[in-house]
Amino acid sequence: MCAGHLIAQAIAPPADWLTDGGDPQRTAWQRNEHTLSVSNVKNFKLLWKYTTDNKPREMHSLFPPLIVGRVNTAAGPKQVAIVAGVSDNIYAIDVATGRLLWQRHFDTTYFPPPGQNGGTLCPGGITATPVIGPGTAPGSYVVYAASWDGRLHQMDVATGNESAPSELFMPPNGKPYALNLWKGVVYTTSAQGCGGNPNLVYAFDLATRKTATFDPGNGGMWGRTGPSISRDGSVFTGTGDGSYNPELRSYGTAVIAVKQDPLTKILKLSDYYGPPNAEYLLKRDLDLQVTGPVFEWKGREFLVQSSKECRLWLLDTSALGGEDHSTAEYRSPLICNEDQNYQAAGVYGAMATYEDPRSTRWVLVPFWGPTHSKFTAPITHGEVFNGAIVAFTLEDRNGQLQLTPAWISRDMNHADPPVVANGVVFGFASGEDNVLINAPPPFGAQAMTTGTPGRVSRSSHAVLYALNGQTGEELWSSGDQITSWNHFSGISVANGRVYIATFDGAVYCFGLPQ
Amino acid sequence: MSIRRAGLAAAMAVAVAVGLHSQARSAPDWTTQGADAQRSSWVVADPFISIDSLSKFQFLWKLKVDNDSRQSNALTAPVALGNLMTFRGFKSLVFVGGSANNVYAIDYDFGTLFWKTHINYAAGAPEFAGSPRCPGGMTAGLTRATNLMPATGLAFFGFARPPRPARGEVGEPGRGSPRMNPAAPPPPARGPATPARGVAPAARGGDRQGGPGPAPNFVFAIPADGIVRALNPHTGDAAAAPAIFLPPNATSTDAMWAGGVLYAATANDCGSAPEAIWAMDWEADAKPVAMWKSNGAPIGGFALGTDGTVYVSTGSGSSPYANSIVSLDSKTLAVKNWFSQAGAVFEASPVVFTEGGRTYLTVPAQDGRLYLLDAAAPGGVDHRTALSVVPASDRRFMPEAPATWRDQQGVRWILAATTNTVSAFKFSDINNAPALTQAWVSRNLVSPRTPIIVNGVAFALSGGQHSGANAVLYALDPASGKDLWNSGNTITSFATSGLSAGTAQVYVVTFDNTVWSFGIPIPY
Repeated sequence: MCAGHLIAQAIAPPADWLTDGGDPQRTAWQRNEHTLSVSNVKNFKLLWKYTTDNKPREMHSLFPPLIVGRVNTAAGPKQVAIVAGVSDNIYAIDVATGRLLWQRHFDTTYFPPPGQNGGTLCPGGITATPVIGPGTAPGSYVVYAASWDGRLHQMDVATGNESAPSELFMPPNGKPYALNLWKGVVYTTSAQGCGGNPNLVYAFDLATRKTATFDPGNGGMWGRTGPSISRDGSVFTGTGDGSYNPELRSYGTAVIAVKQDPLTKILKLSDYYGPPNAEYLLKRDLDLQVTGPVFEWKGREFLVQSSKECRLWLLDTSALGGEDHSTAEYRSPLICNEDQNYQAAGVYGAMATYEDPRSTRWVLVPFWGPTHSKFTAPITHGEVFNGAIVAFTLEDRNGQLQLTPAWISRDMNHADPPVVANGVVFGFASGEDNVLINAPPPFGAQAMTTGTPGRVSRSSHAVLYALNGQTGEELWSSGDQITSWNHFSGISVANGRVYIATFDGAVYCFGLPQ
Repeated sequence: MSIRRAGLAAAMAVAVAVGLHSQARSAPDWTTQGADAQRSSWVVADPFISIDSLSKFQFLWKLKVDNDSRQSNALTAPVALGNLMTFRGFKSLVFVGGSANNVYAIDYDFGTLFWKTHINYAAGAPEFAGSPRCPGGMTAGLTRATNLMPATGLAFFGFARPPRPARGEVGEPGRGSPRMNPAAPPPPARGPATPARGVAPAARGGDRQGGPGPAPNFVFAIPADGIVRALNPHTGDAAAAPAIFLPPNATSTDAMWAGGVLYAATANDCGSAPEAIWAMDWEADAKPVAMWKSNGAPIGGFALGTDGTVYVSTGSGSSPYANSIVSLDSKTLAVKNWFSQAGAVFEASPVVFTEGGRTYLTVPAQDGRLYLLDAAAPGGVDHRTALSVVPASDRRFMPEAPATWRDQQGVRWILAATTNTVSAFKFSDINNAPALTQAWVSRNLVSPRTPIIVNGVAFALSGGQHSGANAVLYALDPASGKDLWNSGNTITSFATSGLSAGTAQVYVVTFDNTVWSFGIPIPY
C-alpha cells in the first residue's frame, strides 16, 4: 500500500453501508472505499465468522449485513454490522472482533394459525433487509426493521434499545423487500401476496407516523433490494406478473414511479414504463422483479431495469419510456435465458452501477443460467453454465444511448447481486438450488423432492469473487471457505471488508489482514 | 421529476392507440377434434383475432417435423394447451400427431419443437404395413381432457389477474397502512438488549393445496397398436400406464377424452376392429372398455352432448342403425335413442348446440340435405322425424363435420363444407318450428375441410389435392361469406387434416409433414 493510500485512509471518514444496495439509489457502489483495491484484493482473507442462532424459515435465513463505520458506544467508537435474521432477529456484530454486541428478538403480535405454511415464496418472519439512518446525536444511528407482524421497529445501533415504540406499518405475515430511507420516509414494496395481503408500495412517514400505500393494480414488486429512489424522491419499482393496462390504470409487468405528496403524504403515480412485449412477459412469467439502480450521467438521471427475460432497459427518470411509455432509451438484446424460463434463469435480485476514474459509467448485471447463444462481450472468462456477471458501459453514439457489453465474468453458480468498491467488483455465487419445478419423472419413476426440502438438499455453498472492474478478471475468490449457501440475500462492502451471510446462520467477513 | 411530456393523459392515449396494453388472457384451448365435445369448431373468444384485426393477420411460422407419411395420412390437426407451467418455463403448446406413431409438442409462440415422442408399437399382432383403406399408423387425432360444457369466454393465463385500477391511499397517524385491521397494541419498549436470545414461532402445518384439477392434464394418443398412451405435456414421457383400448392396426378416428371417458371410433374394418364406437372408463382402475358396433354401417363420427350423451352418425348398410343418428349412454354406450332416414348417408360427425334451452343436432348427409334433430329425441316418437331438413340442391357435402357458432346478435349459424364451397345456414325457431335456412355460399374451394370460427371470424380451408393443388386458408366474413384474407401461395402442400386454433393463431397441417401457423403477431 502506497503512502498516499495510507494518508487517505487515515483522514477519510469510515465508510458506511446503511442500506441494502449501498444507497437509496441502489447503485451497490461503495464510493468511500479507501482500503481495498484491484492490486491488494488478492490478499483477502477470512477475518471472522460469526454464527447466529437464527433459525431459517423456508429458504430464508440472514439478510445482507449493514455497516455503520463509526458508532459511538459505551465502549467507545465501533464499526458495527447489523444483520437481520428471518426469524424476527436482529444482530449487531463488532466488526473489529467479529463478536456479538447485542441481539434482539422481536416480540411478535402475530401468531400464525395452526397449519399455516406459506411455502418457499412466503416464509413469514422478517423478509426485508432493515435500513439505518442517523440518530439524534453525532455518532448515533437508528436501525429501522419491519418484523413479521408488520410493525416498524426503531433501534439504537449502539445498544439495540428501541429508540421509539414500534409502529403499525404493514399487515402481518406479508413479504416486504429491503427497506429504503429517503428524507424521513421508510419505503418498501411487497410481493407474492403472502398472508393474503395485497402487493403494495409502502411508505412510513416518520414525522407524521402516517403509512401510505400505492397499489399498482396488478403485480407484486419483488426487487430484492426494494425500491430505488431518484434525486427528487421518486420511488421506482418493477412490477411482477400482472396485467399492463394503462388505460385502466393497471400497471403490472411494468416499471412504475411513485412519489409522496408532501402535504397529504399520499403516494401518487408519477410515471411508468411498459415493455412493448408486456403481454408476452406476463404469459411467460418473466416479470420485472429486479431492483433497478438510479444514477446520473452527463446531467441526466437514468434508471436501468431488467427482468427474468434477461435484457436491460435504460430509462430516463424524467420520462420513463418516452412519449408512449414503452420506448426505452436503450433496450438490450437478450443476455441469457434462451429458453425464456421463469425459473433458474434470467436476472434476479438487483444490479450495480458505478463510475470509474475515467468517468466511464458501468452497469453490472448478475444473471442465472447460461449466456444467450447470440450474446457476447469483448472479454469473456470461460463458458458460462450456471450464471455470471456481465458488465456494460454506457455510451452515447451519435445521440443514441447504448449499453455496450464490456466483459462477462467467469461462471458462477447462480450469480447474485454484485457490489463494487474502488474498481473491484465483488460478486457471489449463492449456491442455492433455485428450481421450483423439476422435470416430472416418467410414469412409475421416483419424483425429485420438491419445495423447500428438495431445494435445500440440493443447494451447495456460496462463493465470493473479487473481479477487476475493468476486465472481469478474477482477482480472488473465497473458494470453499463458505460452507453454506444463501437465498435472496446479498453482500455488502465497507472499509476493506466484504460481508456475506448464509443459510446456516453464519456471517462471514472477508478482508485485508489488519 | 421534470416531466418532458405534455401530460400523462396524452401519452396514455398514445399507448392505447397503438395497442400496447396487455390482454393477459388466452382463447379457450382447442382440446380435441372440432374444438370441444360438441365438435362446434368454434373458438368463442380470442384476445387478438377479430374482424377488426384481420389487417394484421399473416403467416407466422411453419415447422416441418420428421414424421413419415402413411398413405394419404401425415399429421393430425393440432390440439392446444395455451399456458403450461413447465420446468422449462411457461409454454404455449400445440400437440400434433404424426402418422408414424409420433407426437410432437410445438411452442406456438415461436414455432419451435418443444418435445417429440415416438411411440413404439407394442401389440402382439405385427404392425400393418398399410393400404389406402387401412393406412395403419396413428390415424386418430390427439386429444386432451375436454370439458363437456363448452367454453364461454377468455381465460386469464398463468398468473394474470383481472386488471384493477392503481390507487394510492394514506392511513391515519399511528394506524398503519390503510385498510389494515389494526393488530394488537404494540408491545412495550424493551430495555437493554444484550444478548437477547429468542426464536420465532415455528411454522407448522401441511403443504398448500395444489396439483392438477379433476381432469388429467395429459395428451392422449392412440397409436397403431391401439394401446392408448397418456403423455405428460411437459416432456412427452408416459404420464400413466398404457392401456389397451382398440384392436391393433385399427383405423381410429375422432379421439376425445371427456367426462372421464376416452372415446374413439373405428372405421373401415381395419385390423380386427369393426365399425364401432369405443369408450374407456379412464377413471376406473381397470379401465374397462365399452363398444357399440354399428353392425357394418360406416361410422361417420360422433359428438357429445353436455350431459355426456354420445351422438353417432352412420352411413349406409344393412344394420338397423344404418343411415342413422344414434344416441348412446356415455359409459356403457347402450343405445338411448335414434333417428333413421333411409338413404341418408351420414359420413360426417353431427354437431351439438343449444338454443333457447333446447339441445339440437345438425348433421349433413352426403346427398346435400342438412338435418336438424332434437338431441333429446333425435327421430321423435317414430325415430324417423327430423325437426327440419334443408333440401338437397346441387351441392354435396364433404365427409366433414359442420361447424356452429352464435354471432353477437344471437343468430345461430351452421357452416358446412360442400365438395367445393362452404355453405352457411341460419338457425331459427319461429313459433316453435326450428329450422335451418341457407344464408350464403363461399367462393370455390378445393376439397374444403370443416370451417372454424374464431371470435367471429370464419376460416375456411381449401384443402388442396395430392394431384397438385396446395392448401389455402381463407378468412371469411361470417355474415356474407365474402373473402377477407387468404394465405395465397404460402402453403406448399395439401392438407391432411382440418383446421384448429390456438390463441391468436390458426393452424394448417399438410402432407409434407409441416405445421403452418397463421395469426396475429404478438411482440416477443
